[in-house]
Amino acid sequence: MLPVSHEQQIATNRPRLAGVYLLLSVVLLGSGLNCATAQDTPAPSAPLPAESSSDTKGSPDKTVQKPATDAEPAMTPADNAAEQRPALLGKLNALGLTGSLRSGYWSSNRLYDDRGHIGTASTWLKLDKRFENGLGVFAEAYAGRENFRDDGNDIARLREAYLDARSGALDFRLGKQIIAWGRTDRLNPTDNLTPRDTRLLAADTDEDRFGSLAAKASWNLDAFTSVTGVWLPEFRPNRVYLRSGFSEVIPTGSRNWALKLDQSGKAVDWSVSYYDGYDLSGDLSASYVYQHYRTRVLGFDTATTRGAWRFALESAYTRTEDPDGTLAYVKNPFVYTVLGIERDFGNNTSGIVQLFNRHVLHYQSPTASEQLHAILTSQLDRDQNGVSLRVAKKWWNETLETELSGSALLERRGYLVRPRLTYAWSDQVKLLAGYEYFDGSSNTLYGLLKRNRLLFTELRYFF
Amino acid sequence: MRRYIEFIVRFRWAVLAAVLIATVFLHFRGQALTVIIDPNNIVPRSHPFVATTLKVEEVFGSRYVGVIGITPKDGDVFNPKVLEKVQRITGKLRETPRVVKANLLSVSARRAKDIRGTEEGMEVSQMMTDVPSTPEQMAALKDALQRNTAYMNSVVSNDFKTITVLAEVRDATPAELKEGKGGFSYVNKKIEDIVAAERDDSVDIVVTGYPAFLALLEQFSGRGGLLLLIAIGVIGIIHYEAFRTIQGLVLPLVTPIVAVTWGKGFMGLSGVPLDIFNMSTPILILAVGAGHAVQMLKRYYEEYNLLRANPALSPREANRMAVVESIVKIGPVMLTAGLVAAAGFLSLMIFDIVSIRVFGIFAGVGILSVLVIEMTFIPALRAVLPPPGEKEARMEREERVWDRITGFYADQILGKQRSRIFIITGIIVAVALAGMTQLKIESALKKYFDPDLPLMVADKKLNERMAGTNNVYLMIEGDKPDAIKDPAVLKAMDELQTFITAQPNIGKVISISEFIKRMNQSMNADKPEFFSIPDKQATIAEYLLIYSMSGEPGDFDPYVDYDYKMANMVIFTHSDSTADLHLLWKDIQGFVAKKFPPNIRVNIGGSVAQSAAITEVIVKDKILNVVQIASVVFIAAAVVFRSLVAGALVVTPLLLSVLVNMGLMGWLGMRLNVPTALTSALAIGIGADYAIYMLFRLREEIARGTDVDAAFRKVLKTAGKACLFVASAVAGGYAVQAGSRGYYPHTWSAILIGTAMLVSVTAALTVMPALVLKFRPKFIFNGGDVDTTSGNKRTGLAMVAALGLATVLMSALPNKAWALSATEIMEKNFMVAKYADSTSESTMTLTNKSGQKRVRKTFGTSKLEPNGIDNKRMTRFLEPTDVKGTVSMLIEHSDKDDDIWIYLPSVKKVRRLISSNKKDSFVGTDFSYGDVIGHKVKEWNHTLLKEEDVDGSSCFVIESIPKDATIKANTGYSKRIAWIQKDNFVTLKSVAYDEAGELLKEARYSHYKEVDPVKKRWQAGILEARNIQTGHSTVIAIDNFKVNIGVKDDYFTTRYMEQQ
Repeated sequence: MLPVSHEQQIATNRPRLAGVYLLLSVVLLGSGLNCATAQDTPAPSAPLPAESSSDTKGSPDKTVQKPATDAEPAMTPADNAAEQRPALLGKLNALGLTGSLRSGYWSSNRLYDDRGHIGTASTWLKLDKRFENGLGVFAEAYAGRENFRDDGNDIARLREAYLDARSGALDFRLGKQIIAWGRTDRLNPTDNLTPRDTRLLAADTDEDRFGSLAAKASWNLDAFTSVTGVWLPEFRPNRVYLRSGFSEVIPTGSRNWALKLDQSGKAVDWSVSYYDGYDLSGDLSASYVYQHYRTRVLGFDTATTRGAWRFALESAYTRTEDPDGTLAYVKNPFVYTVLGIERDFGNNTSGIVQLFNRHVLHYQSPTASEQLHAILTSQLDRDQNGVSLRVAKKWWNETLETELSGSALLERRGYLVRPRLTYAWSDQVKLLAGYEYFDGSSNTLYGLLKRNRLLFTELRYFF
Repeated sequence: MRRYIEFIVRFRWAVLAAVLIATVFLHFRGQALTVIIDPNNIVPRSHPFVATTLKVEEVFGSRYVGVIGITPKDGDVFNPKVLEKVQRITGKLRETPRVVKANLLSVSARRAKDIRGTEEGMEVSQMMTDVPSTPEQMAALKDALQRNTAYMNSVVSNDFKTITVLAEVRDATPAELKEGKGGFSYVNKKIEDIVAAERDDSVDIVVTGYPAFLALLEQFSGRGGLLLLIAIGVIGIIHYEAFRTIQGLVLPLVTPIVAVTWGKGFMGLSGVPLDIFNMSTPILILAVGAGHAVQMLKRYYEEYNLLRANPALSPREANRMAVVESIVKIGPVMLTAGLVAAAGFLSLMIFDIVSIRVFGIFAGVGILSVLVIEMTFIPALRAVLPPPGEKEARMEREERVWDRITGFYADQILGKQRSRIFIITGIIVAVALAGMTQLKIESALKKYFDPDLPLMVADKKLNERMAGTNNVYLMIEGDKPDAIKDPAVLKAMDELQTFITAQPNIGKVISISEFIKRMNQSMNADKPEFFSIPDKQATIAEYLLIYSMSGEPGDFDPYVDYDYKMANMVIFTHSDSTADLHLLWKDIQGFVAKKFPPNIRVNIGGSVAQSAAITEVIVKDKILNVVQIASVVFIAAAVVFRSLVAGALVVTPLLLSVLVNMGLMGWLGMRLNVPTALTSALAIGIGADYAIYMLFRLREEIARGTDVDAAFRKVLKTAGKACLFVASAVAGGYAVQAGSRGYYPHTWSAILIGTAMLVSVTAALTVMPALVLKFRPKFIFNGGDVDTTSGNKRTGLAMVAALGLATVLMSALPNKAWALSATEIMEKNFMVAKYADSTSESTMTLTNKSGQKRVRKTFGTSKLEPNGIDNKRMTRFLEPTDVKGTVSMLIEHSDKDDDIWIYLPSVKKVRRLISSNKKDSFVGTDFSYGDVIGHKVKEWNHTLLKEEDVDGSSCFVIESIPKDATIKANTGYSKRIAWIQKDNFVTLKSVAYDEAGELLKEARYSHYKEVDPVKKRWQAGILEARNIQTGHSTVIAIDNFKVNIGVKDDYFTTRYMEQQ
């Protein structure tokens, strides 16, 4: 039985959304097939840039030679790929509209409910239009369906929709937007502004992010330094699975704001940031209600490179509504630090090792009833230490990308292993596959996520 | 050695034929030699003065300023006839090749503008569009000139008696060099032709300035051929006087003449032009060659006379045997002495200056040629020639003045007053050291010439009448665009201008600040108190805007760059002395440190500064060079004699000659400059021979058991006498140069080389033997081993080594001695794509082995950093959809790792990437990051393999090997070979080998466009690469390529990257 949350209210619109989705899919898939046919036929030899034949040294006819082997087609630039596309797609692209159709198979969902063998289909659309005067419009949305054997679940979301404007040294961004902060890899203590939907069957990292309504202004002091202020009039928390009997209270206060002083573009990149607002991840109370308390986060990050190495450090102190550690179901203040070291091995191979530490202030050992809260908020121990690792390699002129990542706790048994691969069949068609394996003792987050071990594969068609 | 020489004698005809064929071939190659002065061959590029000079030339186009001065015989210049001349000359110069049109300055030049205050404000008009015909118009022109002070004393003299046309001449392009339009004589002739048409009774017109002087320099350098002929004659005469035989006259000349032919042939073969330094090289080879030939001939006569004492031998047999014996005995000595000298000259290859490197190689190869000829051709020839007649042999034996000199020396060495030799030497050294303290480093091109030469007279006249015919440039560089518009900077410039004008020898300074002051004044009703820099930057910007409405965009090009980041202050000075320049620069630096904002850098450049840089580098390197040659000689001698004492003994005469030379220069008030510094290397190279010949012979005689006194006398009478012949001949050969009238460097070298020869031969014949007698070193007195068989093994090896070295050097010469080294070609190739900024669109088509295609489209911008080497680059992906919006930014750093950032729209942030790895594919193409950025020239060792045509264009083929394992690992290449078009230095083709040494990829670059004709910058329109190992290929087509459009710095910020 699925829990009810306001996100799921969308379900009432199910028939209409599904109709729109299907219509779009048929139209776009149809043009996609046309496109695939066009790809198969040899590309016509596009003429060389007209002006280059007159004003050049040597003999231009001779310089563009056929390669030695006969099997190779002539190397001429397919300089107008857009023209080879179906007319409709070309027009959409010209309007700044792009997107993708996606279909996949998932061995499990991310809802702790043991349901598996899910077929998914979705359409992602992106509008990105810039105007001469510095104005810009950006929007991204998706709609689709996650099909179970016996049931279905429509998904739809407007991820972002905002307006950009600039005036001299000032940049403004107004609307629903994703704000991602931090310089370490995926584990970001300073990233506390906009939420993620952990339930979404997203094949790509960061696709689970979505925007909050916000007004952002940046004042660029010089080419490298900026001060950014953000006001989030509407609070949107991370979306998490709510088990039966669980509920969530989403605060409506508009007093969420953040400031950041950032320097990038010089030898060392760094920033100092401050966030005052509701906590994206909730605290589970004794009566299983997710509460979002106010937090104040003072953070710092930096990154630099030296030779084949990259170093990044990010740390944040979070002051919670339980500053003295006396309240059982409210997070204690904590300091979260990540140190990352990356090495480029050449041959498109890189590796990152990150050490992370969460240090709980005013720590008191949780009682049995407080355990679940402590596990979910990583406050079971005074210090939680861990290591994360990622090795990635690109093959065959970047058509195949493989990655093995994982993380593990040092003091308790709990780890995650996540191999993934992305293969670009063509510029339009991409295949993604991955596996997520969680394991650990039941008093770790990894242990709790065991039921979400999954294998997935997804085909994407870009237009 | 014996077997070798018997072989030569047996196959004498074949040897003669082979040498003759080689000589004929090389003679024809030598015909292609040209005389030019390519200033780029002389400049030490790493020197800050030179860097600034090149930068000023690149940004402002200024380099060599030619001045045409017109002085009417009656009245002032406000005469229609005079002004018409100015107009015609200016007009014709505009059409003259290598004259920088934009920088032409005269009253009728387009950029000579009258800035005038009117009721509406500022009005800008051309100073003189048509020659004024009425007195009123004439008076108006005079007013305009007086109003615009920038032109006073530069375009027209303060007394209005002289009017000038200033024409800046740029360096020749490689194509122009090829067409014979490279020299300054070429340009100067064009200018002279234009002026000749205007000369008449009413005016006095002079043409002067750097181009005229450089043309004169070329002319004098061209005298070399004549000087060489005379030198040959002089050497022949001295030798005839020494030997009193026809063979003595002819044979010692055959060797050096053939060697000079060979050396010139190799120069012609390698396309090295004769220049100021290479002009004296044939004379040097002549002198050294004659020296060896004389030693050989002297010994031959000695052996022949000994053998003839045996009545059983016929003259013919005695002749052949004497040939063999003389070579066996003296061949190894000659090889040793010759190799030591050659090593000395070849060590000049470490020089920063191409011209000197060429000189070093040419002299070295010439001496090696002497050795080869003396060991092959001469013995073969002598074996063919009839034996000397009785009279001839007797004449040679006769006692004459030479014997009296050597006899006198022997008396001094062996007599009781031996210590007198040391005392006199001590006094000479003390006097020389005192003289050295007077020695000054200074170079001034105009001091090379006789002041009575017409050009010198003309220059002096104009120099006095006007602000000065020499130019110095100050480059004022800010850290951001519009830095020069800052009132603080302009005021500092204005004060600096006043400060410089007050220095000695300075006639005039022009900079943008003066024009701004003039604009301010004109905007304020021409009131004198407003001839100042406005206080607000906005006002300045406004003035420039108003100016631009009626002026032309290029008016201030010589004074400020496009985005007002750099300014050029032009200083007119009466002095071209480098010493004066150093003083001026010191004062300017002090002023700048006090008055300029810290973000402003000021550097000095121009022809005088460049000459100062050359002098500084040469003199510094010269001192190192003398030490180096002395060390080479010391080590070589120590090895040959297996004694450190021997090394010291050989070096003694050389050091004495250098010391005396320097002392003499000090006492005579001669300056240490490029030509005089070079002579010390000449002297030390030639002088090495004497001591070696002397020591070998001494050891031979002592070992033979001759009593010490007799041995010394005999050595002085034989080897010593030959040394004396040689020194006299060399001094005589160089004395010829003293007759080169009007050009002092020839006179200087005549004096200095003559002195060096005199001192070194005297020291080798007196001080050195006296030291031997005093210290009785073991290698002479106990180690003597004249057993020819064991000695021969060593000398045989030396012979093989010499021939091997000669062969290697000669075969490598066409590559190594090229006027541009492989590294320099690669530097030019690296620079050819360095434009100030650019925007472009690229379509990258990636095709895999099975023909499947992927297409990436990008928009890119680049901007060159102020150092002129590093670029900032931004690339934004437009297609395909999944990477659309990805932006990468690269900031290159030539001195450390680059910085790279990437913005991924899916991650919504900018991430700093590791940049040391240059081998990975650039966005999946077959070009690596290193290929796209350009491989840093200094990280690779470059070799010119050959020349080859690619699609009909003549190319240098250059192989580049990484200097160390890290560079190899970071770039992924163990070797690259590039085909670089000769005339414009663009890459047409390249191949690269992977770290295992396997062929990895092949690239072609075509559809080149000259995107910046002024700076000679090129960009390929189509770039193709193919990975041989995977079969994957990439074609990059570049469209809408625009350069120098003032790309804003905003593109190169993370702010821009994040704007989706």
